Amino acid sequence: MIEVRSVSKSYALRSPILQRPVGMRMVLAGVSFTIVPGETVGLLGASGSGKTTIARLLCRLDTPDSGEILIDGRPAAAFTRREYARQVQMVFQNPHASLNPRLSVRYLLTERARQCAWLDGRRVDRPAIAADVERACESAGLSTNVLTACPHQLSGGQRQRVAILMAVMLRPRLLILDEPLSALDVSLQAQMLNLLNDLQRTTGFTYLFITHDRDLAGYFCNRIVHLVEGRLADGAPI
Amino acid sequence: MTEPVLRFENLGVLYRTPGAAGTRAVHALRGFTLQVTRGSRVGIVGESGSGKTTLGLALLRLLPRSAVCSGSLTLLPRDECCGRAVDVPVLSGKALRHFRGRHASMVFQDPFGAMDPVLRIGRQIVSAIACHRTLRDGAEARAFAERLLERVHLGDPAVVLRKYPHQLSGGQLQRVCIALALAHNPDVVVADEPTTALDAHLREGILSLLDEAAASGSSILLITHDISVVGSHTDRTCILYAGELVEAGPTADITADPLHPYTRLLIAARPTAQQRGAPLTVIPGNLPDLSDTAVFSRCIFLPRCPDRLPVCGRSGPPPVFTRDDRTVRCYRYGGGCGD
Amino acid sequence: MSYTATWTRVSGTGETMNRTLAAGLAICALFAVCAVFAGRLSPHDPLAQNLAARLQPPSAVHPMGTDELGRDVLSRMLHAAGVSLTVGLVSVGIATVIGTTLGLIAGFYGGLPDTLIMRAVDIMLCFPVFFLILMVVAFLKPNVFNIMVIIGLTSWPGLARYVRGEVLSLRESEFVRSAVMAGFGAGRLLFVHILPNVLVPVVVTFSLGVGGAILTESALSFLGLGVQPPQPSWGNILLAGKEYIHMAWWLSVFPGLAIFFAVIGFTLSGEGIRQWLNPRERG
Repeated sequence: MIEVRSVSKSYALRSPILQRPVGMRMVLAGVSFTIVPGETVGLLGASGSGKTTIARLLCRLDTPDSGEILIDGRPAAAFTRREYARQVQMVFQNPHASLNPRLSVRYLLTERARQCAWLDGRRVDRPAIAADVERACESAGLSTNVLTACPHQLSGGQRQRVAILMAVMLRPRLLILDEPLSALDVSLQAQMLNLLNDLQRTTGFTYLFITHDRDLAGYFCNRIVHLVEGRLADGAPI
Repeated sequence: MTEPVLRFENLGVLYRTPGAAGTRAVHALRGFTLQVTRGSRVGIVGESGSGKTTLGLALLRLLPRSAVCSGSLTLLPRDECCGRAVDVPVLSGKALRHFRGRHASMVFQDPFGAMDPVLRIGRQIVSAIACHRTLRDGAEARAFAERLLERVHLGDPAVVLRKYPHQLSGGQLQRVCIALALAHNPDVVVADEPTTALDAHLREGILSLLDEAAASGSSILLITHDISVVGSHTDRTCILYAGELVEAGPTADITADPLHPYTRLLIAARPTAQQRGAPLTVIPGNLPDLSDTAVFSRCIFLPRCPDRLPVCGRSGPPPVFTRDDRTVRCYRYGGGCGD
Repeated sequence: MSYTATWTRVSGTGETMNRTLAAGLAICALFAVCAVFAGRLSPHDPLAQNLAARLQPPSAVHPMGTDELGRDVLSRMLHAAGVSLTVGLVSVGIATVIGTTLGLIAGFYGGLPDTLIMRAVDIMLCFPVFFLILMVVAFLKPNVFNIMVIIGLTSWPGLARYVRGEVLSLRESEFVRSAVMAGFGAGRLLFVHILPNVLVPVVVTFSLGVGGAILTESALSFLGLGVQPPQPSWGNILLAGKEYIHMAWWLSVFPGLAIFFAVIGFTLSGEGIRQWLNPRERG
């Protein structure tokens, strides 16, 4: 169980030219919620409501000013970077920036699969990993010639699917999806949502789905956490 | 008003792109025919690769130099400063500069990309106004700019004028961009996905600004990939797929009773809270390769169509069938009336 | 999939060659052939003096004429090509390796290493490099090896700063963040994720730098502080030619043209590589 407990975060505002601190902007104020394994929690809010900040805090890209984030009771800061890689992973919003443009898709996925095996302490078995990668591609509806392609040769939908697979291959406890569909066409959004639902059904992932679209959250999530200007509005189940 | 203001006749756009085996010709838009009446709001719905952005760029003559246009695109302006009809593809130089801004303007998807980040808002607005209008002095310019900002319901126009683009929110900046587009009451405003980069709750505000513009005589071409956006903000809608117009008609009719299989799938793919738990309808397959002319010899949607008939694969591309005020390119409606 | 195989995915455009790259590589190849096969191609011994045939204009026997000691200019030019290319490639190679490494370290780790490296860069950029080279060469023996090392050790600061900037912006990019979150170690992050994306401008800078290094070496030789006669260098042929410029134009024109085309060859190659590696540049 992942718990966000009374987290607050502010950023210093600086004057335009001399960059002198002129005040603090409170981005999050005492936000608390929990995520139970296997559920899909929606984080709904407008731009500037703090939802991206919560994602950053959960990914340990930043630390909260007060409050803490606990994973099964253990503070997130206490994990090593390697241990944390099995706890939280993220799929970013922009499919054009989330894949290394100089590496092939096969390399990107194989690298993750090997990392997962290594973090588990299992032996790295090349044929088994290659088979894993190919199975993962099929399950996401990607044909095998995507494997030999480089990211710039893929469409936005294909790239986003690869990004989801990369995050999923590490088998994290929590998968954060930061507006993963907003750059995609409507028909591709449907495919992506179906893929995410399938993955959850077969492997039992837990999702934190960040969006500003109420309809989308209503369709996809068990429960919605609504942020308004850094504070919770309600956390009622649907 | 039913007088026409814009006429597309068989408009085609071809992009020449270099590739591994020399230059490929990508037929991004083919045979697009549409008539837009004054003050009306037309939605152009399509996904990526449908040619909708190409259409908007063609009207504003913003296509790359390697693009080749065919067919005709005529604008019939309100005031006859440049004659009764303006043939858009042949404009150049001074005439083109006059056309852009005075007769046609564009609102882009990303407001932060559309504004110069190092100039204040006031300066950018004033320079846009000065292009088509002689202003006596700074005070008159500022007053005009403030009136423009009031027109898009931005509070405190004087304060906004002094700000830099990054100091405004996305929604506010898009309003400024709309103000710029409406500055000279153009005949046509092309809005290319104006709300896609903004939060959902800001959508209504921006789109209602475009409604007001239409009411005051500027026709709106609302380009979007989301069919739910056109619902209450357009009078007519065109559905584009892979560069072809597959369906057109009054918006209310299309959303209530979509004729073309693609339109039906597009409407069904939108997730709503009521569908929780059920998988969404997916449009299988991928867009055809628009540089391969073989795909144009039959219905462009055939490989992905769930409702195909034997005649679809055997005959050439479906002709346009007209029923009441609606047109559709699909063999299912061959009779001309009813299906 | 092996790591080395990932590096072959450099271009991805499907286009293997463009006109600029072809032209540049052709010129460089020509000079390389001249340098490597100088012995075979030279009609005469570059060091053989023939005082009876001093300052002869170009003829069938001496296609580029003879110099003030009767030596065949063409043979000297061919041998000089080897010197110039070697100095150009090795010195810029040294500078590239040092600059890229320090830039990567500064950008990736930040903090104290970054501060130290960047202050060193600032200090070195304050010196007018050419005069620094002159000073050092004046104290040490002026020979090819010293020149290569000096040019190499004084040209790395600009590249280090550039690489650091690229690394800083790459660190914020989503794919690097994603790799950091996957728990990869610093080595993998640097060599697999960051370095290949930095390499494009580095390779281009390398090609362009070789042109600059060739010019520097020629200038040093022209001032008498580079390659010493009788060993031939384009620069010291020019030096000799300076004295006889009114009566022996071939001693100035041919080395000048050689330097000109060598620099153009490397510049075009650099530009061609940039176009080749940047798929978005097309159309």
